Amino acid sequence: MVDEGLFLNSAILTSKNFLLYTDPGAGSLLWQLLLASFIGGAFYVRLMARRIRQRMTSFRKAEATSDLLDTGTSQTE
Amino acid sequence: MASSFRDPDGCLLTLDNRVLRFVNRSGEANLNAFLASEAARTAFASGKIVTTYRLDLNATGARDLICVGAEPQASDDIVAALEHERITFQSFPYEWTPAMLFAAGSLTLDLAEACLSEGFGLKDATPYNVLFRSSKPVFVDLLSFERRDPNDPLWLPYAQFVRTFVLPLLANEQLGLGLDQIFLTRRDGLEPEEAYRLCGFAKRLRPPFLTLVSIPTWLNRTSDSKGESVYRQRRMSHEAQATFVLQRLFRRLRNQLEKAQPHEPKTSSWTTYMNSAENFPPKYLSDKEEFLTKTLVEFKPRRLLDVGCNTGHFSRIAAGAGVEVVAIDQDAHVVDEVWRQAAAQNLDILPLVVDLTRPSPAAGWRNSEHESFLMRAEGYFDAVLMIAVVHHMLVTERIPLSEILRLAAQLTTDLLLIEFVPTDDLMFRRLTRGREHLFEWLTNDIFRQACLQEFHIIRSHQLGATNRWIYLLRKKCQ
Repeated sequence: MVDEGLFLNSAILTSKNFLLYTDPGAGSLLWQLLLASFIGGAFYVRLMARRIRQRMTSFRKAEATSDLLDTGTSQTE
Repeated sequence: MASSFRDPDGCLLTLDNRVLRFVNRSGEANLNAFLASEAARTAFASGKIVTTYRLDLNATGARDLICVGAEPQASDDIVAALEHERITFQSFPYEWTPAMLFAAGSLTLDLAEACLSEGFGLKDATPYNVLFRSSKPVFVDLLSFERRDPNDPLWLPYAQFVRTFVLPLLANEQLGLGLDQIFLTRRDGLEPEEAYRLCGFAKRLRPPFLTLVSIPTWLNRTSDSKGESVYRQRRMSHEAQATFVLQRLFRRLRNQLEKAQPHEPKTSSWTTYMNSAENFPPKYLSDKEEFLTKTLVEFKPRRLLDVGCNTGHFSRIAAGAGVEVVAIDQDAHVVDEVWRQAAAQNLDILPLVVDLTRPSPAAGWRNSEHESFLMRAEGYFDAVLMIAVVHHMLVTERIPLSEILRLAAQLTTDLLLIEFVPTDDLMFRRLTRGREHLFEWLTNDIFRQACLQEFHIIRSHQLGATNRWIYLLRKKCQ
């Protein structure tokens, strides 16, 4: 159940067997998969947060520019 | 002649003091790509990877030598040859102190992280990929580097790194297991399941044992039902995401390695020995220092073995005079102190946890993968230092004096500097504990006569106001 449920948030493709050289230790491999899944999720959360911040920043900038323009227009009037 | 045979991409051959690596067709592309990378250039320049030269394959006569033990088809498959700098005195994890194993683990992680951004990874992560050039670790397995799938978020040697670096350090620090106990009987380190059995109930549920030992053990029990599906490759949709995951995994492993290492130098009854005024009557120590310094100036030995080095006082004097020193002691805590000081002062000292009365045996397949300590030491040193150590061998280990001197003659090609401790000496009496009658025969004259069986006496000197004597001996020609 553990590995089937992994990577829902990261579009994992299960393609082929590893070309392993060392013993990956089944338990350790599954634990690493779990960790990778959580960290992979954190990557998207960070990405989303960055996008939202960028949007907010550009929105504020646009707002500030329009305010300036408005002020400029009213002063001219 | 020795060879390695596990890596399908090539093998290593030690021949007449030369270390040659032959690369198979399967490993050629990875090797060439890695050698052309910036990460490789930086690692070579900083001395983190062993100095390596490319050889003309046909000129080496390699095809005639090819790897004892390699698969039959391998010799036809060899496409490249490399020559590595020879790390003059090899050592193995079962002879290292915990701080040395930590340094080797840090180096492995440094290299794995450094080559990540250029699309390379390590295919294995074991302390046997690292040797110590004096007190500095150096990575010696060039075929460990391989191109990685940029979308793969896993580091496959993760479990091996935990087994061979993190768990041995943790077991040493928290369960009192010696590194020799772990590595002499297990090539691939300590399995989480073994560590789990050694832990109490409470420890199993506490970090770092919970994530390093218990969870992998529990997950391992469920993995049997999954069959081969566990070993399927997982790929993430974005390269950046896979790299992000790997960077965090490395950071996590580094934290765990740092938490597992011994944080403060440990003490034992021998770590404070050199600081105790009781052990050193007036002029006793300065006489020995003077005797050693005079010998170093007069005979200029190149390689010295310091037996029973304690915290390395005399090793540092020798290294300061430009001598390459291998310092051994059975007490891991004092050897740890020697390593810390040698590393901090950049001295040419390789400290090892070796008890000369039961030295490291040959290990591995057919006992031929790792030479015994005596095989490595014999003929290597032109001077051996046995200061305040013979009485321990005589009394504690009950080794006959003639045998001790015979071994010393086997280890040195030229000089032996040895201290005689009489039976009425405080330290001698502390060791005998009611067995004084066994050593009534031992006098300075008898000691001198025994020395003359294997050596010529160059000079001797009484140390301060004690009845101890120090001898400088030269090995008789065979």
